[in-house]
Amino acid sequence: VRKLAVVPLILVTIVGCTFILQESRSESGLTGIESGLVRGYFGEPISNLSEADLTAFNAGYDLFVKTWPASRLSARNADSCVSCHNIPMPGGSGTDQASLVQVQAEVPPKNRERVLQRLGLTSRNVHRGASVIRTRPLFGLGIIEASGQQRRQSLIGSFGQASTINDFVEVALANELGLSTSHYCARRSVELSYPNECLPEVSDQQVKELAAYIRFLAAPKFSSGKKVGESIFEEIGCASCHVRVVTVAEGDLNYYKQNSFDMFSDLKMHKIRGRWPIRTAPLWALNFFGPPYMHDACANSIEEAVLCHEDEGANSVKRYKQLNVKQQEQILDFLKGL
Amino acid sequence: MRRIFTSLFVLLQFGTAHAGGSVGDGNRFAMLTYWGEDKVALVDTQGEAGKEEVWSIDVLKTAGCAKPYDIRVNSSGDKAYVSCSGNSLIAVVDIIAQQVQFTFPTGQSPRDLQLFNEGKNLIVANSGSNSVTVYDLGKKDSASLVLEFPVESQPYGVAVVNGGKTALVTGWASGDLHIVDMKLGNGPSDSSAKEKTVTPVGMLPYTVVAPGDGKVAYVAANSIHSVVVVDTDSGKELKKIKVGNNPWSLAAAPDGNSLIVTNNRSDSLTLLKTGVAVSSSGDGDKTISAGEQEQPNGSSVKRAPKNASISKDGQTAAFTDLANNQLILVDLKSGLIKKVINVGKAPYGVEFIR
Repeated sequence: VRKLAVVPLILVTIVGCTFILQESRSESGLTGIESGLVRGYFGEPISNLSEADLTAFNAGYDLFVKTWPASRLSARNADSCVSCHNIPMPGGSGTDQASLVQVQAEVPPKNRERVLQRLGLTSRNVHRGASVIRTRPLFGLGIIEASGQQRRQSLIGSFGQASTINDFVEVALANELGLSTSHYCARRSVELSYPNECLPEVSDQQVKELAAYIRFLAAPKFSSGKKVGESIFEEIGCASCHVRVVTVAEGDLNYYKQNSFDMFSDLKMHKIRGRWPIRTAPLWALNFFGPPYMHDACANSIEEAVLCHEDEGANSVKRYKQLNVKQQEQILDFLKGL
Repeated sequence: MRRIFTSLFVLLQFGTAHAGGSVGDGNRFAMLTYWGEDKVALVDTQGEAGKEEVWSIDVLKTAGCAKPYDIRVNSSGDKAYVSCSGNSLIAVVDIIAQQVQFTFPTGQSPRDLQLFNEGKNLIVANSGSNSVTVYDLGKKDSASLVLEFPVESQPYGVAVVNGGKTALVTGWASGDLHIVDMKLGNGPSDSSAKEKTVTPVGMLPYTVVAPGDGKVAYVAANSIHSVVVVDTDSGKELKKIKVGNNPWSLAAAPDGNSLIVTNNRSDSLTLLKTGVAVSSSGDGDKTISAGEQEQPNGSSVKRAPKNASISKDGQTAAFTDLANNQLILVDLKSGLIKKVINVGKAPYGVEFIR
């Protein structure tokens, strides 16, 4: 089993482009914790921000927690970002029914307007063919954005549908809060054949500030000492996708350059459940963001989340089931301690 | 072996004190929730350094209680009520037997709790289902729903005043304080609630308390870095008191004359003089540094105060620190930290057994 598990790890290392998948430090010798990019608890900005960026972060926080009156006038899912992103702090995940959304299953993931409705706000059943998507936490998203820049790939969002946090914010404002931005209005004017007046409800400056808040939210701190569980996690193949260390070598943002993070994600798209491939979810602070767990909220416990993996994750699940009870508990203790 | 003897000694002391009706005189033992570990713990704040935790229960494994958030202890000190924010339950912990006695369902994602009517009723803010529920705790092994009413949006904090007839509820996502008149009967069919006023207080109000005679409520308005003072009869805002950054919780002294505020992102506490039925502030208020914790590599991490509780004698405040997973004891007279206790991951709720 150990040998089998090594094969995908080697493959990922080879194909890993500019990512350095290692358990050592980055070229600068810094880990995320030491550089202040990972903080003690959730909701803090990274610690080495310039004065201008810290000002933008704080302004973005105010917008993030703000209730938008215009949302109440439109077909919207919420009237504030924190309506869904709140566990365990603003910027976090959503765990109750109202923070689960349905997305169309019959459209390509790149389509920008996929969200149908939040669950819990309606008595209607789930739309035919729709998938349920759980609100993902935003902590450390700046690292994922920087990684995307390094790879020249879109990594933001469950389906990797946005390449920058600014783009992600604009889509979320339109889809979830029913708020228009200048880009949204420009797109609408092209799509609609009849005259349409569209005035941005959120200014470009506000979009930038919201993006700054999300970009500079510190990543969760890795604290597990459960080495045995991690070894078994690697042996049964989980680590071939949930790769522990991600190192950002390049990118537009200086803060994240040449730092390593215990993210437990290869940040690649994999088919796990449902129709569309999804980006491997980082496992940092996994236990803080549920229940429910998984992108489609299929699991009410971490063990159920392990067992929920299908398709590309099926082999690892098979190996997990072959472990004895003690080994399974060691893996779960390791995951819970992240 | 030594640890076992120490634990037995503490338990014996706890049991003896409890038999006498005053557990540690209300100044020694505290109950905590470890949100990040799904545990509930009893801590002896005067225990030997490093051995203060008397016991802890994995409430997820033993009772299906995920993400324990708030905790309230009854006046006899033998039962603790825990909101299981991850799966919509209340866990009732038998403190003497060190086990979950029973659980009962609530609305979704329950947050703050308050015992009232001399511990006969429990009120729960259900943040995930925009509701507040009230339970009758009269039976030994069960609780029954007495009243449920809606509150928009995402209720987090809750308090009860006016002899159990008025509920104060914070709307976390709508940034307001709801004052609701309650009429409690034997069950939902003969109970009712009527919203009297809604007062805007600023976004993310986590906690509300109404010390003393309950005529004045204090709300921790997280996003505007203030404690908002509201008249509980009229709903009128009386004052906005600027405190540290992102105040999260409030804890009143048993005599109602002071209030401690945990400023989550400015590494400090604010001690407000409240008085009975008076919304005063200014003279006598003080800011207390929450300090830093030195790390093994020589660096230090500033504390992130979450919840607090004040001892029965009003001399000690205990607050939980999310950044370092610690319980910190502060001497309120001097404003100095007098003890630091390492506890479980993400300690959220804390209450002295008074």
